[in-house]
Amino acid sequence: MKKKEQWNNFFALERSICYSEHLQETIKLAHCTNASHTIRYRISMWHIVVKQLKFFALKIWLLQGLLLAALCALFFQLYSISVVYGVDAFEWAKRVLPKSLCLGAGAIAVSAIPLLSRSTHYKMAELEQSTYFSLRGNLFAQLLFMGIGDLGMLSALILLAIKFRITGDTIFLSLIIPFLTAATFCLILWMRTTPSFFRNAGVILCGASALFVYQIADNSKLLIPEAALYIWILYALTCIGIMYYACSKLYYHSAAETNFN
Amino acid sequence: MTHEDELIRQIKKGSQECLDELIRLYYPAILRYCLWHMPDRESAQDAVQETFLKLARFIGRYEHRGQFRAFLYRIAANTCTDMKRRFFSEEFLTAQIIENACYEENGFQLADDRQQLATAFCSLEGEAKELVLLKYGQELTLREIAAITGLPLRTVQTRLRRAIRTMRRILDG
Repeated sequence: MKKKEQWNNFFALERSICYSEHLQETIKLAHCTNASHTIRYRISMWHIVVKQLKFFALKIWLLQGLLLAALCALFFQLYSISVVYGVDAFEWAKRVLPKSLCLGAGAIAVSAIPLLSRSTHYKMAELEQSTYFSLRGNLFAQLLFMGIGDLGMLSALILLAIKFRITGDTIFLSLIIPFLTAATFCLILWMRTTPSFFRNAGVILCGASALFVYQIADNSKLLIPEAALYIWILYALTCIGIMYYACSKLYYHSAAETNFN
Repeated sequence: MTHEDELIRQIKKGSQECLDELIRLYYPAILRYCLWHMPDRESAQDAVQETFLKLARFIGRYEHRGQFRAFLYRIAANTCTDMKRRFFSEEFLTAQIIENACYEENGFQLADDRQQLATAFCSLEGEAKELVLLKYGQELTLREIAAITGLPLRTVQTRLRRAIRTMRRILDG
């Protein structure tokens, strides 16, 4: 007999065994086990994110709203002081606003640091244990709410800039580019460093990166006026790509399951 | 979506009929697998039953990504390992495999061939034996074997080739 045939016959040893009775018994027992075992329902990650709105989101948005109010109050206070001193307030605002927008962008990005560092440090243990939702999932939800708040704050600052007739490319270079730089840097630091380093050095590093990029953007307008905007658009897309990659890594690695009886 | 995917989807929704069908689909293969790991038919049947009861208990938590067979074989492998540790020694199991191989009375030559094969098979180390069994006894693909054993695909290929060479050397010489 050929070797292959031998081997096949050898391993086919028990193929003809009669097992129907034991099969029926197993099926019956499996029914009882399946029925008696508690049924667990799954809900999707987006469902749990929506449920967390009332726990996280309101607190985050309140803090961001207060920050925005403080920035606007500071700006208008200085505006009114310039009026008092007889300075052409409108022209003053047009000169000062780009730098103010840059500072505002840095402040918006940096406002996330205390919340994120606290959540990472304490690993959101109480929430993780009560929902069986992983730490990464909870952090993703927090990041999402912060992102929505940031968009609101940026919109408010853009409206303010438009009111003072700041041009679109100035808004882009003074607000959007520093914000994207600071936010990307913040996200990278958060994911790659320890919570204590992130908390202590994050504010300085993110704020500094926003200012640094603003200076480069401002100077590039003078040096290469035609190409500057396109280069910065490419830079903005790169920052968005990095942030998207980081967030999707967080999303796909999280356990998207919550069990409740 | 394959038939298996559909069955698992329905079981998660609570369909008992689909659970029955799934058990009927895999019972013969798992029984064959357990017969190779357990010394007698009764303990093999106990192992099969325990495997499917574990499946019924935990299928709610199973996330289906097209590797159900590998998942089921892993449960069967762990169940057999647990039962063997509790009740049987390795020497006893080896002796039983050789004895069972000769049991069918189909002529002296066939029995002799089987005994030689059984001896060659039992001379393999635990992991090599498992790979040969999964490949030739259970007719699984190399990818499935890799998923069950947790080894990389290339490692499975290399070790399987080595095991077959060892068996051939013993049979020839």
